[in-house]
This record gives sequence, C-alpha cells and structure tokens, in this order.
Amino acid sequence: MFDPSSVVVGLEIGTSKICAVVADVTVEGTFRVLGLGQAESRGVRKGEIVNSAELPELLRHALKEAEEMADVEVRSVWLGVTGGHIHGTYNKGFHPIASDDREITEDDVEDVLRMAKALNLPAHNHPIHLIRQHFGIDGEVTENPVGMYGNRLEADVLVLHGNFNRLQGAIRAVKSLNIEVEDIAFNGLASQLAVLTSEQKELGTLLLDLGAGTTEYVVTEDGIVHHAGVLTVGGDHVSQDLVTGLRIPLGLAEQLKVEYGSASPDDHLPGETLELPSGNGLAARSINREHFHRILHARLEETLQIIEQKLAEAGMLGRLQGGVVLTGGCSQTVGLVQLAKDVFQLPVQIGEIHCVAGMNEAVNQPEFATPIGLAKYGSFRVQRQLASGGRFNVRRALSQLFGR
Amino acid sequence: MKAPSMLPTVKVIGFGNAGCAVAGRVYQQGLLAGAEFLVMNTDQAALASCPVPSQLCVGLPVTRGLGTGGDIELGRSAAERDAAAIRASADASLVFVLVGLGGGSGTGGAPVFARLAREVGALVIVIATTPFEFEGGLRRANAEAGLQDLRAAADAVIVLPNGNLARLLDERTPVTEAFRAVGDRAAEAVTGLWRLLAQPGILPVDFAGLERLVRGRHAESAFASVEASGESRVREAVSKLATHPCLDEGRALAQADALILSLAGGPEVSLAEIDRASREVGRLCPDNVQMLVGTSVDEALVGRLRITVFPARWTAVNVLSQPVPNRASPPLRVHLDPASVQTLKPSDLPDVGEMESAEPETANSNAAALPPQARPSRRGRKTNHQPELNLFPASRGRFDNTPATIHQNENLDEPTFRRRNLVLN
Ligand SMILES: Nc1nc2c(ncn2[C@@H]2O[C@H](COP(=O)(O)OP(=O)(O)OP(=O)(O)O)[C@@H](O)[C@H]2O)c(=O)[nH]1
Ligand SMILES: Nc1ncnc2c1ncn2[C@@H]1O[C@H](COP(=O)(O)OP(=O)(O)OP(=O)(O)O)[C@@H](O)[C@H]1O
Ligand SMILES: [Mg+2]
Ligand SMILES: [Mg+2]
Repeated sequence: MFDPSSVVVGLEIGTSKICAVVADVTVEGTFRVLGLGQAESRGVRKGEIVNSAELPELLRHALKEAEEMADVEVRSVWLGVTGGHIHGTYNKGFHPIASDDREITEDDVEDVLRMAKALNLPAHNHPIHLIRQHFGIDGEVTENPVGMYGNRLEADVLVLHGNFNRLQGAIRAVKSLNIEVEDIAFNGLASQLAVLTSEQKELGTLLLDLGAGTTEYVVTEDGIVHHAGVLTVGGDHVSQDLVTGLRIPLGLAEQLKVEYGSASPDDHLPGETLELPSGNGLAARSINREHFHRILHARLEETLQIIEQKLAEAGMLGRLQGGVVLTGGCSQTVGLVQLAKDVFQLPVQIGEIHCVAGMNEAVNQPEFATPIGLAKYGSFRVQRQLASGGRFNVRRALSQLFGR
Repeated sequence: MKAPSMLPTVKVIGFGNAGCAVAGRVYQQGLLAGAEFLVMNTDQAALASCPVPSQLCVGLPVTRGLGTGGDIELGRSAAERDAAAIRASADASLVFVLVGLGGGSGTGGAPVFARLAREVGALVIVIATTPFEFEGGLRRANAEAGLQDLRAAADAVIVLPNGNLARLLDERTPVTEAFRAVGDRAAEAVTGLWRLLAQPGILPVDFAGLERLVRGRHAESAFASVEASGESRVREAVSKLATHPCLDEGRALAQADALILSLAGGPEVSLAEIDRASREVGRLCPDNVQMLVGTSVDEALVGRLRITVFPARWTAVNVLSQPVPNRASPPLRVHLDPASVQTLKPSDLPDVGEMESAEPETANSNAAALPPQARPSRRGRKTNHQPELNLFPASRGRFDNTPATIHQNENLDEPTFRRRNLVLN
C-alpha cells in the first residue's frame, strides 16, 4: 500500500459537475491518478455556490465514488475556487540593501517579497495566490538577485484574490462533511498545471478552461504565471442562447449542443433541419440548422473575442509563442479550435492531460483538467513542504478563512 | 386617519451623533417639503450643534447628557426611559430613522425607537450605516448587534456599509471627508425614497404600495443611485448598477426578493426608454422579484437618466415578529404599555389579505371575507399591477440568482445573437 501522506485529493465544485480526484506520487516521483468520482452539480452558477441545500449529498457522492475507486479514505481535499469575484492585481515591493558591501542576500529577498505581499487589498478580499514575477536591482530586471550588488531591490508579484465570504462559502460546504480543506487554489491555475507541457510554460502559452459557468484564462511564460482571470461566461450561456433563440427547453438545448453543435457557422447544408421526435406529449418539430449554428457561433466567437481583447489590453498577446491551449468541457465543441485560431491568429490545440500514470485513457478528458490539476497542485505543495524538512501543515495559513 | 391616496405624514428621526448629523443635513437641504424632523441623542452638546429644532435628549438621568461612550446597553436603557415621549413623537404614517451603527446611543436607541413607533402604527424604515474597517472590532460588533435588533424591530432596514463606500473613495480621503460622504449617501437614500413617494410621476408610487411591499417584512435592503447621459444612457446606467460596489457588484440585485426602483429623467425622457430601463434592471433580478416602480420627470435632470434602486431581501423572521396581522396585537417581545394600544384607531387595521400574499387573486378572495374597512383599496392594487408597462422581467433561466455578467456596458447573459441583431427567421 501507499504511504497515506503522499495521497492527495483535488475537488472541483463546478457549475455542471462536482469532481473529486484521488492521486499520489510514486517513489520515482510520478504523479498518478488513483480514483475519480463525479456527481452532477446543483445550485452552482457561474462557478459559485448560490444554493447549498443539495451540495452535501452531491459532494458525498462524488467523494465516495473516488474513494472506492482508489481504495483510500478521503480526509482532506485541495479545493478549487473560481467566480467573477476573483481578480489579479500586480504589486511591487521595495527594499533598501543595508549591508556595507551592498551584496544582496537571501534575507533581502525574503524582506522584499514580504513587502510585495503586504498589498492593500479591498476590504473583504482574501489573497489566494501570491505569484512571484521577477526582481529588479536599481531598476534592472533580474531573475535571481542573490549574490548580486545594488542599492535597492524590487520584487513584482501577481496577487490573485477573491471575495472572502464567497471563498469561505465553498470551504464551509466541504467542511460541513467533516472533510478538511488543505488549501484553496484557483481553478485556472490548476487546469494549467494539468494540461501545459513544460515547454509550453516556458514559451508563453494561453490556457483557456471553457467550463459550464465560467471561462478561466491563464498566461504562463518562462515557467511563471503572468496573468490570470475569469470571465463568467460558459457552456450555460451557449445553451441558454439556444433556449431563447429556438424556443426549446434547456435540457434539449444542452443535448442538441453536445450532439450536433459546432462552432462554425457553416456546418450545415442549405435548408437543412434537425428533426426532433415527438414524445412526452410534445409535437414533432424541426429546427432550422442554420439558426442553430448561427446562435452557437455568435456566442462562442464573442466569448473568445472578449478574452482576446482582455489579453490585448493587458499586453499579453505578444508573449504567446506557445499559442493557445483549450480545455474544459466546452473545448470539445466541434470546430472550436479553428474558431480560436481565427480569433487569436495563433496556433491552437486541445490540451492533453499530462504526467498521469495509471488510469490515463479514462481521465484524459478536458472536463477533468481542473480536479486533476488541483490534486497535482496539492502534491507539489506537499512535496515542497516535505523537502524543506517541515511536517506538512498549511492549514494554519488558512486559519483566517476557516475561522468562525 | 391618513387616507392612503394622500401623501402620508412623514417623520424623519435622527438618532445618535451620526444620525443627528445626517438628519441635520437633510433638514438643511430642505428637499423633504412637509416632513417633520426630530433628533434624539444622549449627547446634549451634539444636540446643541444640530440645526434641527425639535430635539429630545433621552435618558438624561442615566447619561447626564454626556453620551454613552459606545455602551449599547446604556443607549437602550436611555431610550426606554423616555418611551412615552418617543411614542408620542412617532405619530406618523411613515417614519424614517437615521442612525450610524457602531456607537452606543444610536445603536442601542434606534431599535427601541423603531419598535415603539411600529407599535403605534407607523411604517418604520431605518437607514443605517455600518462602520468602516478602520473603526475597529468593537464598533463593528456593536453595529452587528444593533443591526440584528433593527431587523426584528423595523419594517425595513436600508443598510449602508461604510466599507462599500470606501471602495468608491480615494485611499487618501481624510476621515472627516469620508464621514461626510457616508452622511451624504444616507441623506441621498432618504431623499430618494421621499422623491419616489412625493413627486408626481408618470408612474407614481403611493404610500400604500410601499407599505404593502414592506410592512411587517423585516426587509433588509441595499441602496444605490446612478446617473448616465447620452445616447446609450440606459445601457450605461444599468451596467453601472450591475457592477456597483454598494450592491456587492450586482449580487444585491441578483438575490433580491423585492426591488424598489425609481427612474427619473429630464423632460426628454420617453416612456419607451423608461420601459426599457425597468426591464433591464428587472433582468438583473430573480424571476419572481416583487417590483415597485416609480418614474418621474425632473426638469433639473435634463439630458440625464437617474436610476435609484433599493433591492431588498426578506430576512429570516422568527415567529414573534411575523407580519403583524393586526396592529392592535403587538409583537410579544415588546415591553408593552397598555396605554399605547388605546391610541390605535380601528381604521388603522391593515389589509390582511394583501399582506399575506403577493398574488392579487389571493388578496381578492381574502378581501371578500374581511370587514369593509380592511378591503384593499382599488387604487392600491392598481399601483401594484402597474398595467401600463410590462414590468415583469424576461426569465433569466440558468442565470436566475446570479449577478449579471457585464462587459463594456453589455449584459453578456443576454443572448449574443440578439445583441448582435442576427435575424433568425
Ligand atoms: N455620517 C456620519 N457618520 C458618523 C460620524 N461620526 C461617526 N459616524 C458613524 O456612526 C457610528 C456611530 O457613532 P456615533 O453616532 O458617534 O455614536 P452614538 O450613537 O452617538 O453613540 P455614543 O456616542 O457611543 O453614545 C460610527 O461608528 C461611525 O461609523 C459623522 O460625523 N457622520
Ligand atoms: N461535446 C461537447 N460539445 C460542446 N460542449 C460540451 C461537450 N461536452 C461537454 N460540453 C459542455 O461543457 C460544459 C461542462 O464543462 P466542465 O465540466 O469543464 O464545466 P464545470 O467544471 O462543471 O463548470 P465551471 O468550471 O464553469 O464551474 C457544459 O456546459 C457542457 O455542455
Ligand atoms: Mg470547471
Ligand atoms: Mg454620541
């Protein structure tokens, strides 16, 4: 059996599904998925819990399924968070070099990072990730300042933060089952970990996680996350547009979208129709395929365009030598890769889930990028902690969110 | 007896230092023609510097006119000592109570006032600010306790968290300026409600409509007011609301049980524009939200459109503070002075049928069984229906209960094909 301390569990409370992934790291250091459990989500919209009445039941179901497959007991999880309340802010820290010879030491680096982290967040906001960007010595950018000389050390960080109450809401939902939350992580960051190759991370790559309620975007270059955000538009919008445009029920819209949907406006013959069988007292109906495709295309194109525009405004488009990688359930839409190529004018591909020994085939699905990435994030954190000699305990850092 | 079709008698009460300061401001602005003002405090010096002439220094024997120093209990007992005077002062159909929560006098006293005023039949709407972060834990704890009491005691509490306002202010704003802004906003909330009731409009709201919406509901409401001009002013104003920090970036709308919406524009404003604005705001709310809409034309707003919203939620009410079925049987919790019951007139009986249900049908069928004076007035029901405009928002489907996704003034929850005017025929 495995060393239980190396078992990690990632949990995504997604808009369409709740998914738990149990994983471990082998002696050789390979990340391995041992089990995966799912439940159809309810009461989650745009990536946030709006009604938690049915959640405990659904969470229990997903966790139990994962536990049974992996044959371990789940006591704690690494919980994914997303939603329109999550934002990224850049911050800078300064630190004067005090030593006589002006040589920069490890301590100086620690001090300047502490300064950079002391960011004035709006009240009620809580930092989720503090991501080091780069250092500067007297205005010159540098990667590793230790051992270099200067008067003033600077550090740039990207802080991803979210609304305290909403983060706490997700944590509470899990804790109500007597399951600990090791830490929270941004879903986009997790997906990026699951899907990007190390080469892509170096080159400069945009990861898009197209879910049901949200689309996360993350730009990674030189192995560092430089930009990240959430657009609260997803597959639900695609389906809801069909509901309005074709006057069909949501369930049917969802089904037609998955079975016949395409991101290209021309994926049909002139006058072609979709015939809906009669049944359940409903009359037989035919749907104009041209309308169907136009509705889908308009929404998907707009969503990609908005993200393209946001990245252009943030000055990120020039940095994407590695192109665009799509993941999340909606990335399976036929023709989406081509549409994204047209919008971004960059190479686009669908992400493969990497470094997954074990149940590779079954879990290599775009919907699972986030929960797998969450488990991976957890295992990195555990390893880092163990490597630095400490007994693993990050929960302390979270006590603020857990309190009350 | 105050006829529901006439302007009701309105009193504005400031309680505690902050409440007195805001009441003083509103008083001096002179916009609330016909309203009576009164300020109450335990702090005699503060009263002396307040421009409102009607003043009551409560609890003199216990505070010696020196304030409470942040002691809620003392604030409460000070007010209770002057219960008789408070009751006498609350003789109005509608009372607005202004208070800054966090200290002792206002936080302890305002709930006492609200309870007594409700007992004597007034509709009580409290406008309460809650402290800034920097004021520290004690004041915030005080405020939380006071807010709980107010929820139980008042018909509606409009909560204005100073913290939300702080996000609109420059970081370097001096504290005195910040409090001034807080006071301005509280004043704006009262004035906004007043305008809704008092200003003759294209689509007026009367007191009965407001009363039906909040009486006994223990509603808790947020407040925001935005303005926009130019060609796309409706879209711009609506998207400002959808992302407004005072509405928790639109969540207050997305989770509202009821919405009081006031639309005002210059003489050029068209009915179609008003209709569109109210629909679009409605779309930010759940499907089953109860809307009370008032619209008016204001010469001073030429070229501009102003939208003021009070999105409210019914707070969890315990059995003791359920909608009062009959004002003659007061909530059980109160220390009841039997004399106060006598002051009620039979004609003050509320419209039971309407209060228990928002469905006009139900209200009607109940009404048949009620004594004549309790039958809902025709006029009142008409206002509730507002048949001139179709104010019931289109279904938000999957996005019910969520804040709208706004990008560059566009509501992305609306179908793309529609916003891009693609024809499907
Ligand atoms: N608008 C406004 N708000 C204020 C002002 N001063 C304080 N506040 C707010 O009101 C809250 C209550 O303070 P006060 O009104 O001074 O307290 P009080 O009710 O008189 O109670 P005690 O003085 O403790 O008896 C504070 O926590 C502040 O948030 C002011 O000048 N204007
Ligand atoms: N073959 C397909 N074609 C198009 N869309 C699909 C397909 N399969 C799944 N989807 C859509 O993918 C979405 C679900 O994706 P995913 O599981 O990544 O989302 P989620 O994690 O539940 O939501 P979120 O991350 O937004 O909270 C649904 O909207 C679903 O309709
Ligand atoms: Mg997801
Ligand atoms: Mg005082």
